[in-house]
Amino acid sequence: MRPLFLMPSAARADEGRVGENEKDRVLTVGSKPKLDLSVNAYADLQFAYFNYGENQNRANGSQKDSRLVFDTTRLVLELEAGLPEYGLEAEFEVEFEHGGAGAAMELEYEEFGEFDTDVEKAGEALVEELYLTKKLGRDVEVSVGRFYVAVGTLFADYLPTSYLATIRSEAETRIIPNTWNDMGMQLRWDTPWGVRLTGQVVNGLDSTGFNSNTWVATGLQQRFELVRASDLAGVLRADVRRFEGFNFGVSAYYGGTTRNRPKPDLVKQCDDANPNMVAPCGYISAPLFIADVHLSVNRNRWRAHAMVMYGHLGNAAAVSARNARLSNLLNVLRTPVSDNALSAWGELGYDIAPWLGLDGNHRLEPYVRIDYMDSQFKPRAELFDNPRFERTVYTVGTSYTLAGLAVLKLDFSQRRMGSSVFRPENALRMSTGFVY
Amino acid sequence: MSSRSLKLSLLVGGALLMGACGDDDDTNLESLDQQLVVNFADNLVVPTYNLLATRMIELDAAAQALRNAPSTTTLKGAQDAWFAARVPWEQSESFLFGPVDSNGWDPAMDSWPVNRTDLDAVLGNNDTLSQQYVSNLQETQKGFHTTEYLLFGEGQVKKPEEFNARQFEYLLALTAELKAVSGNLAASWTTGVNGQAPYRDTLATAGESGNTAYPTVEAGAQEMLGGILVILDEVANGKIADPYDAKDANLVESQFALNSLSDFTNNMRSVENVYLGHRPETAQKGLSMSDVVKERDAALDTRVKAEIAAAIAALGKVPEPFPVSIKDPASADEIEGAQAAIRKLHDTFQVDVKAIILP
Repeated sequence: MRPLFLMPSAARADEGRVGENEKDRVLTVGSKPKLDLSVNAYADLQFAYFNYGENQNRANGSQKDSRLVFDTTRLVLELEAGLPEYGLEAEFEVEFEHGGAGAAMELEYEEFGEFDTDVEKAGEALVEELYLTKKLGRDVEVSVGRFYVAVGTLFADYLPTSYLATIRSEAETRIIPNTWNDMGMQLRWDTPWGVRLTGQVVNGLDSTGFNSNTWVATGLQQRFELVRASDLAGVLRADVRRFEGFNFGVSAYYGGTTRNRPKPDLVKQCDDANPNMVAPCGYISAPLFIADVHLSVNRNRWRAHAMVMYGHLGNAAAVSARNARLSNLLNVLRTPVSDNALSAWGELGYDIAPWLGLDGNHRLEPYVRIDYMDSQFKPRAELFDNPRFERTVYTVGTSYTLAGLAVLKLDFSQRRMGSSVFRPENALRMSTGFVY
Repeated sequence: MSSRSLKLSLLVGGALLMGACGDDDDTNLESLDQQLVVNFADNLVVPTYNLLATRMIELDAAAQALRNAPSTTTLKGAQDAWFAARVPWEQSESFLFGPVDSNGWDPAMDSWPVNRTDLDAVLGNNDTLSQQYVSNLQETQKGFHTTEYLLFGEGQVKKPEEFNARQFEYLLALTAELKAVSGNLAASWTTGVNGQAPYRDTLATAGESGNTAYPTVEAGAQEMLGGILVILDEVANGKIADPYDAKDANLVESQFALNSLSDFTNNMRSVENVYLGHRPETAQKGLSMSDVVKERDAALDTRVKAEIAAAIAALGKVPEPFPVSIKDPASADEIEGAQAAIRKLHDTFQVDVKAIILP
C-alpha cells in the first residue's frame, strides 16, 4: 500500500482529537476504492496510596492501613478504517486492562465476610468496540456491531483527557458498567436544531451479576463466549450541542435482564407445563430502567462535568431470591440487589496555566469533584437499606495536560459512607497517560 | 460391603486392566466399587444433614421458649441448642459440595466473621424482621454467628434480662431461617428441591450411564477426597491461621460462644467420618475409604487414622479460649503444633491417599 494524500477522518462519537488528523491516511489499492485509515490509542497508569484496608466489610468499615497500589489500568488500541466513497466506516477498539490477559486471584470480602479466593478474569483483553457504520446522507448514520451504550457521561468522555480526576467517576462506574459496551444497532441523527439524537437496540444485561454492592454494574455479559440477546434493551439519548463549549442532554435505557441469564432459572410455575419446552410458563421479567441527565462544559478556561442517574429494577426481590442460590462456579456475588439506585457526580476545574506564563499547549487545572452513589436507594420493605452502600466521595486535585495528548494528574479523595459509624477512607492518587 | 467383595471388585478391575495393557499405556488401575459412594451418601451425608435439620428445629423451639419466658434456664437451653446444632454442621464441612455449595447455603448459614456494625444497624432500624427479611440480608447478617451474637453476647456474658423485644424478633427470624435452610439442605439430598433430583441419587449412581455429574465412581471419590482436602486446608490455613497470624480476635470463628476449638475438632471428626464411612454414633455398614486404602496399603491406613487422632489431640492442647490464646505467646507452640498436625494430615490425603484411591 502507498499513501497518496492526507485527509481528515470521519467524525466519531467522541469527536476529533488533537493530533489525530496527522495520522489519517487515505489509501488506494489497485483499482479498489479509497481506504481512509486512522490508528489511535490511549493509556492510563495509576499510582495510589490508601490509608484503609481492602476489606470494607469489617465492623466500623475498613480498618486503618497504609498501602500502595500500582496499576497499568488500561491500554486501548483503536483502528478506524473507512471507504469514504461508499459512506462506510469500520472501527474496532481493543482494551488491555491491568496489563494483560489471563486469570488472577482475588480476595472477595463482600459476600461471605471471610477470606474467599476467587479466580476471575482480572487482566483482560476486551473488544470494547467493533462496528460498521453506514452514512445515510450528511447527518444520519446507522451502525451495527459492538459499541458503547449511550447512557451516562462515559459514553462520550472516557479518555483520560476527557475528565479531570485521576479515575473515572466512581458514582457512575459503581452502579452501571464502566464504559458499558454491548452489541446491537445504533441510529444517530444530527438534527438541524443542534440536537444529536442517538437510538440503540442492544442485548440486555444478565441479572445473575446484579448485587448489593454494585447494583447492575456487574451484569455485563462477559463470563461466556456467546452474548445472550433474548432480552433486548432500547436506549434513547439526546445531546444538545448548539452552544459552543456546552453539551448537555438526557438518556434513557429500558430492557429485560431475565432471559439473558445463563440458565432459564427465573421462570414462572404453572400446572400444565409442557416438559418439552424451555420455560413453558414464561419467565419472571426483571426489566431495568435507567435515566440520566448529563452536562459537559469545555469553554475558555473552565471545564466541568455533571450527571444525575436513577435506576429501577423490576422484580428485584425475585432476582435476589434466585441469585442467592446460584452456583459458586458462576463466580458472582450472591447478595440481594436493590430495586432502585441513585448516583450523581460533578467536577469543576479552571485552567491557571496562563497565569503561570505557559502557552496554549499547556493546561493546568485545579479541580474539585463530588461523587454520590447509593446502590441500595429506597429498596423494597423487606430489604435492609444498608448504609454501607451509600457513599460520597470528595476529591480535590490538579490535572496537567500537554498539547491535549499527555496527562499527569494528582488528587486526594475522601470516601464517606452513609453512616458515621463507618470509618472514612482516604486515597492519594497519581495518574498519567496519553491519548494519541 | 465385605472385604471379600472388595477383593473381588479389585480383581475384576485388575483383570480388565491387564486385558487393556496390550494396547494402552494408561496406568489406570483397579476401578472403585460404587458401594463407596453409596455408603458415603446414605450412611454419612444424609444422616448428618438430617441431624442438622433436627437440631435447627430444636434451636428454633428453644429460641421461642426463651422469648416466651426469658430466664437463665431458657437462655441456657437456647445456648445449648446452638452448641448442639454446631456439631452436625461442623461435621458436615468435609463435604461442602453439591446443593450446600451450588445453592449458596453454606455462606447463608455460616459466614464469619459477622459484621457487628451491620447487625447493630439491623437491630436499630424499624423494619419488620420476618424470616423473609432475614433471608434477604447479607450473609454476614444472618446464620449461625449472628444467632450466636444475640444468644451469647461477646464472651458468653449475655443475660436473659438483656434481651429486648427487637433482639427477640431478630433471633426468631434468624432461627426460622436457619430451620428453613437446613430443612432444604436435608431435602435436597433425600427428596430433591427446586425441581432437582435428590443429590443422594446423583452421587450414589456415580459411574452409571447417564450420570453426567459423576461419570465414574472415581469422580465421586474425587469429590469426597476434595472435600476432605478443602476443610483441612481451611482449618489450618484459614480458621486458625487468619486470626492467629493477624492477632485479630474478630476473625475467630464462633468467637461469641467461645466454641472455636470445638468447631475445629468437629471439622477433624468430619474428615474422620468420611474416611471411616460412618458417623460416630452409628456402626459402619458398608465400604469406606479406609477399607479401600487398607486393602491396597494397610500401613497407610494405619498412618491416616493415627494422623487424624494426632490432629484432634493437637487441637485439644490449644488453651481455651481461642480468641485469647491467639495473642498469648505461651500458646504459640500449641497453636502452631495443631496447624502442623492438620497440614500433615492434609498432605497425606493429598499425596498418599489420593495415589491409592485415584491412581
